[in-house]
Amino acid sequence: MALLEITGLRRSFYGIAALSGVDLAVESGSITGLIGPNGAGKTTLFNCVSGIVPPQGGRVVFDGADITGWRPDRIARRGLVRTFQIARGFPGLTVMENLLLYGPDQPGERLLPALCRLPAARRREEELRERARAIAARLALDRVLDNPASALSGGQKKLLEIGRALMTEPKLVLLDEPIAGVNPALAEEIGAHLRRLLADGLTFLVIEHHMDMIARLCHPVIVMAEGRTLAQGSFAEIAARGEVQEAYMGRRWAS
Amino acid sequence: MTDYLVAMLTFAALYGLMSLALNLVWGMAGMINLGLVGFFALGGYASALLTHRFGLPIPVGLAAAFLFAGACGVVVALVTARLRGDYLAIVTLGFAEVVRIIASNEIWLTNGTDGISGIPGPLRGEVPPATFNLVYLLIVLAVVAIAFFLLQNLRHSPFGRVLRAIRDDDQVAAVAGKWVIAFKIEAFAISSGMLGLAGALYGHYTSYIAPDAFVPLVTIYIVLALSAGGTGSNLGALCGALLIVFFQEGTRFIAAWAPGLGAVQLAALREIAISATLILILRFRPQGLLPEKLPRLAKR
Repeated sequence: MALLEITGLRRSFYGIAALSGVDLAVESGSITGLIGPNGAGKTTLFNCVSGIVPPQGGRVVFDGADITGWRPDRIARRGLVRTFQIARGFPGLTVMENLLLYGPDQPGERLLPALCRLPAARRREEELRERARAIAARLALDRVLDNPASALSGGQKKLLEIGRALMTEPKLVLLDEPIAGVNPALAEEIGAHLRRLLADGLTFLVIEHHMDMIARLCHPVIVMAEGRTLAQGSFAEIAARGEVQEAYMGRRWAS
Repeated sequence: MTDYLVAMLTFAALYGLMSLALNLVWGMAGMINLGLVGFFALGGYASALLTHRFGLPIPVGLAAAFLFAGACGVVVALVTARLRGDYLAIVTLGFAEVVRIIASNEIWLTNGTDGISGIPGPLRGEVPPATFNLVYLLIVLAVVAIAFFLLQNLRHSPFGRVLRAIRDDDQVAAVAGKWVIAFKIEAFAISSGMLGLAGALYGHYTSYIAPDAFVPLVTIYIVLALSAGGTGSNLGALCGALLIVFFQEGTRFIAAWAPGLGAVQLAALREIAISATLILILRFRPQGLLPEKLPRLAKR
């Protein structure tokens, strides 16, 4: 059974269908690529799966539970976390706080323990800080932990997105264009991070437009167009298929 | 002169309490509440009615003011759950006006625009007025100190971190696994409760409340106090409140060195002096006098 199984997912905005019955599955232990032309519905799919936008039809089953229409915080606590295309986050928090925020099971986030500074909250905070330091060291963010997140470079923000997702101890991470706008050397580095995390037992579903990255990193690759899944297979298979080329390039009418 | 200073410090402390309340909901959680004076009025009336009309002890009145205003805060937070920024500001501003207009018209309950007089104060009538004023100042200062201590705890706790995250981006906070609406309601409720408590303390101090004490200008002063002091910082909230009262009162003495001006001109001059100072602060120190500090947590 797949880790994430989506069947017949639908969502439209003001009568325009963004998702018109998406079916796809993400196998545990894979880096599954999700490609498709602009407007294919990839980000809407992420929004529906992560609970930010409620779907209007279809089912999302994650890790054996039907999570269709759940609140985003419940989905995240269940082990499915997503990143954002334009590195979004908390510019007014430090890098360390950005990481700590994603730490699960912090009793200090409840009102009374926070008011009274319960020891349980402080202990958990210490554990989370240790974890955050380890993740930051892995992503080469350890020198900027006390800087405000707004002071990071574009590439570092992308790394922080991944780091934050890791703090939740997820099973599945949805990455929305993790290397968009990043220089080639750093893109390579991010790819290496993902491969290492895969070896640690994580699963990824990645939206990306850099085809060489997709080719090297992702298997299988799923193609979306016009709110549907169009094709699935290895990158080579996908690239060879006529309807995929058509979806990207348009159809040749003359001749 | 001492009596005057004591009275001004009491008002400054009450402003400080309101400013701390605003800092929780706006400075930390990023929800602009322009209905401060509405919650202030709810607390004032709740405690005045319970102690004056039903003869309950003052502490019961204060507790009831906190709970009642806090409960109303929950309702307002639920109604405005999907609003942000300007929209939230307008709705909360409207809420405060609704409270004031109800207080003006429901004469059976609030005595209308005549207000409620003879609200009891602790030891009032048993000790000389100067002693009463001093005792009351100490009570209010104690309340402010406790509120400050608890809010500092909140600000530096993971709870405070979630509020500041929601201030930056509530969608990403949800993805981070936080039940955003619950945090917003909690922040709003505590903040409203504190405002209600401030209103109750005000009523027991002046012994008289009426709708004309609850005009939007009071809210504006608190917003200015927090902006000047440093949005997001509890110490800044207190500092800003002190500054506002100092300016409101200090400018009274302009008359001494501005002879030849009429009373109306002097009043206008005071407003100009207050406004100019705030503009200068916001121009040259937009983060406020004592800005929010980021915690340093990297080192072991």
